[in-house]
Amino acid sequence: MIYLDCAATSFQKPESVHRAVAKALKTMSSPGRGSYQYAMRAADTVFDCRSALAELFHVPTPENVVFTCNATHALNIAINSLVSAGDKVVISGYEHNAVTRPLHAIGADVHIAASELFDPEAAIAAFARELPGAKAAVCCHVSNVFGYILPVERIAALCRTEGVPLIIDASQSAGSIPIDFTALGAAFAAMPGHKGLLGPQGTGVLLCAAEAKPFLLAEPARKAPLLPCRRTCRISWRPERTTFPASRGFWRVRSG
Amino acid sequence: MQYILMCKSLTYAQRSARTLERAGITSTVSKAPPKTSKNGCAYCIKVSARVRAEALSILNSAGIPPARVYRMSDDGTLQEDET
Repeated sequence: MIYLDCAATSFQKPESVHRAVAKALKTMSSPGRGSYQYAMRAADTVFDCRSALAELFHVPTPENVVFTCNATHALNIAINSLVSAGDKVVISGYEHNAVTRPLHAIGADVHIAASELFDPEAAIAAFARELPGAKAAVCCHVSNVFGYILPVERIAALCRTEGVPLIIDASQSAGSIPIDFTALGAAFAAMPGHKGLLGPQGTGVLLCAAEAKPFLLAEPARKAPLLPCRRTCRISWRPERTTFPASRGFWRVRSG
Repeated sequence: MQYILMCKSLTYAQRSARTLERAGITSTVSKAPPKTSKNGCAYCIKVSARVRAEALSILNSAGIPPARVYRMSDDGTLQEDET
């Protein structure tokens, strides 16, 4: 089969992914719901996947890898963590609706660092022009429409210089183009699990250097999610949903 | 006798257990006993008394010290270990 829609999702996953998902459905329950063997097996597998992703993307610790429903969910968490109404936010001219719609809904003052396609120098110049005074910046690594690889390393460097936290939308690059999250110095990087990472649909990842705020009001389903003791740095639990999807192709990313 | 090392989250407990495993120390990740946690959803790792000091040293060096330490007697009695 010739499959040409990889920007939407990977198809014909490796056989190891099929086996791993089937095994998870047969042998794992929800992680973090007890100490019985099925829950602990799920927890161990999630942790293994978290650790593998941390290693792949050069994230300092597994706790800074958060699992989400998809890249849109991850981007919404990141944007809601950094942006409030009226904040100046700089985005590239190639952002997905998963970036523009949350910013619009929040009421952010969006500035587009507009530049011609396939002209990285123009992109750098546009960000340099727009970044001063911004509260946050959002940039895709690769355009989902054009396949244009933006000079995200240099844009990240500009953001560091300006002290502007950067959100990277790595939806089209994660698993396909190397990403060194620590070297980039970004606040967040969002990605789906089902594209270049070859996991099943319904999976996403948010790499966090900044504090991620829960986005869905039920997450995490703890008895006292807003007690002061829960405002500490346990990044990997705070914004995650309470039940992972069909066992979690996430960790199957690893097996693929 | 076992020692219960309380962790900030399940992920921290898992990371602690893996760190100890790499140092050749066996530990078990589990839900924390009810008396050790106010909200009932904490996680811990359990290590034998023999390796308590070494385990604490390794976790401290790794930057993931346990939040609290309890000594659990063979009859299940818990006592906070503040040494």
